[in-house]
Order: sequence, then structure tokens, then C-alpha cells
Amino acid sequence: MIVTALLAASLLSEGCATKSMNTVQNAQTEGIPQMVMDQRILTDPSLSRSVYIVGVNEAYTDEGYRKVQVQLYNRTRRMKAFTYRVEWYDKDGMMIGSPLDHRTPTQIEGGQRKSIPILATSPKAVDFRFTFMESLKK
Amino acid sequence: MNYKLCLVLALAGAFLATGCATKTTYVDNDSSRLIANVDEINIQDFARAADEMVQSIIEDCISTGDLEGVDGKKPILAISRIVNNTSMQFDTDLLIKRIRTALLKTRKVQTTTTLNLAKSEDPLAEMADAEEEIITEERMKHSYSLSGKIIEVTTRTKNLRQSSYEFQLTISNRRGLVVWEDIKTITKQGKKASVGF
Repeated sequence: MIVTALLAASLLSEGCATKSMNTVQNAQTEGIPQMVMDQRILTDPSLSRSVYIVGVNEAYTDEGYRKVQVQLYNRTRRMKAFTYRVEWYDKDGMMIGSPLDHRTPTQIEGGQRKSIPILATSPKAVDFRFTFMESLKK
Repeated sequence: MNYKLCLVLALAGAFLATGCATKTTYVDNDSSRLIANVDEINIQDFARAADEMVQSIIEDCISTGDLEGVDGKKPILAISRIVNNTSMQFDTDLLIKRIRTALLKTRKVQTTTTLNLAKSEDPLAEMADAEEEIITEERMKHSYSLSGKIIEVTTRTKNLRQSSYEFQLTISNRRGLVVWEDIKTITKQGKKASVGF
């Protein structure tokens, strides 16, 4: 009896946690993203399943500010909370520090595709590095 | 004998544990190990709101060349009223100073410490500016002003609280026409403060 109740409770909680997202978009997309060759260092395989990096595309503003967009896809059916941060580097490879530096907490639902666009706040920024980390708060 | 030894070990363990728990550590400002409260705007929230606002200003105004100064000079951006409509007391410079610093670093906008709605940020510069005004008979005029409001919306269920903080900022020209405006909202849910987010 107790086992049955526990199983039922477990299934109910699982049901709540595994709601995934359905998506629709125009089949012939008009925008042509300019993809960036990227280099990845993965140390958390669990996170890279939920926050799978599909690709990175870029654009420049008229004044030469670099804009990059990371496209993510949650390959699981579970919502994942994570934080991300972008670091910008100048032409000499030096990191450009700013009083605006912070990690952004966000979530991605199961099956969701998510884009994170970031504009460099300095025209000196030529290179970027995104870091992703699973949320510390469970 | 064994009982005493156990007691001593237990006490030593308790002291050590207490020592660890009360230890103060430094945390990076961009760390995800900062304290997060549901019913407060934390330092990381100000940085995030300021960052998103600066990106929006650069994308919509600065990189399009929409902000124009007088006689080909750099546009001067003055800070107008920033209203705190939340239940907390905080210095709005936690948001505005970050935005001002980042905008100044773009070298496309000039900011000022003397043209403020409230008292001057730099009284010495204000005195010098007044002297300059008498000599040149020309008063420094701002081209644009930044105003805004921070609003809080809270709601709760039986055991969960949610707070949304909406940052609304506007840049107007001298005629009051809005040249840029944006809204950023940060929503937090939880029961109590936690280390890490």
C-alpha cells in the first residue's frame, strides 16, 4: 500500500517536472545567421545535455559593436535552471572588465530552443567567451 | 575514559563546525554564489538591469548615431529623476552609476556631474562651471536627459513568494521627445534568502 502511494507520488511529481515545449516557426527562414566557428570545453556532461549549444552566430552594428547570439537546445524533457556569463576580450587578448559584469540566471524548458543575444558594450571587444553553469539553487 | 574522549572530540568537532560556519569569505561580483533574496534587489540584479539597459542604449541609439550633440560635439547626457517605487530604500546610483560609467566608456556620449536635478555631484566642478559661464557668457546645456522608475510587484501563494522588479528608463531630448525607452524586468521566486542562484 505504502509502496503504491510512493510510486503514485513519484509519478505525479515526475509528471509535473517533465513538461516539455512544442515549437512552431516559419519553415523558410528569411534571416541568414552568420555562424561562428566555436571551440567548446565541456566539464559538466549533465548540463551539456540540458543546455546543448547548437551554435553561435554574430553580427556587427553600424558603429562596429560586436553582437553574438548563442543558440541553445534542451535535449531533455526537464526544465533546467542555469546561469551564464559572457567575457569580452580586446585585440590583444586582454579581458575587458566592466562594472556591468554579472552572471545571469535563466531557465530552459524541456525541448525548448533558446537564443541568448549579447551586445558588447565596448567597441574594442573582438573575442568572447560564454560560460554556463548549472544553477546552485535546487 | 572512552566517554571523556568522545565528549572532547564531540566538543572539538562542534567548535570546528561553528568556526567554519561563521567564516567570512570574499565572493566575486560576477559569481553565482552571491546571496539572493526574494524581497530585495540584490547587487547582481542592479548589474544585470544596468547591463541590459546599456546594451539597449548602444544598439538603439549609439550605434545608429541617433544621439547628436550641439555643433558636432559629443551629446551631453544629464541624469534626471529616477524614482524608486519599491518598498525598499536604496541608492538609485547602484543602477544609474553603472549605466553612466558604461556609456562614458563608449566615448560616444559625454556625461556630467554638475547638470543634475538634485544637488551637484561635484560642487567644485559646479563652481568652476559657474566661473566659466560668467567668462564665456555661455551656459553648458545638456542634449539629452535620462529619467526612470523602478517598480516592485509582489505576489504569493501559500508557501512561495514572487517579486518582480521593473526597471523603466527613458532618454528624452531637450523638447521632451523620447529618443529611447526600455523596460527590463527581473522576477524572483522563493521562500527565503539563499546563497547561490
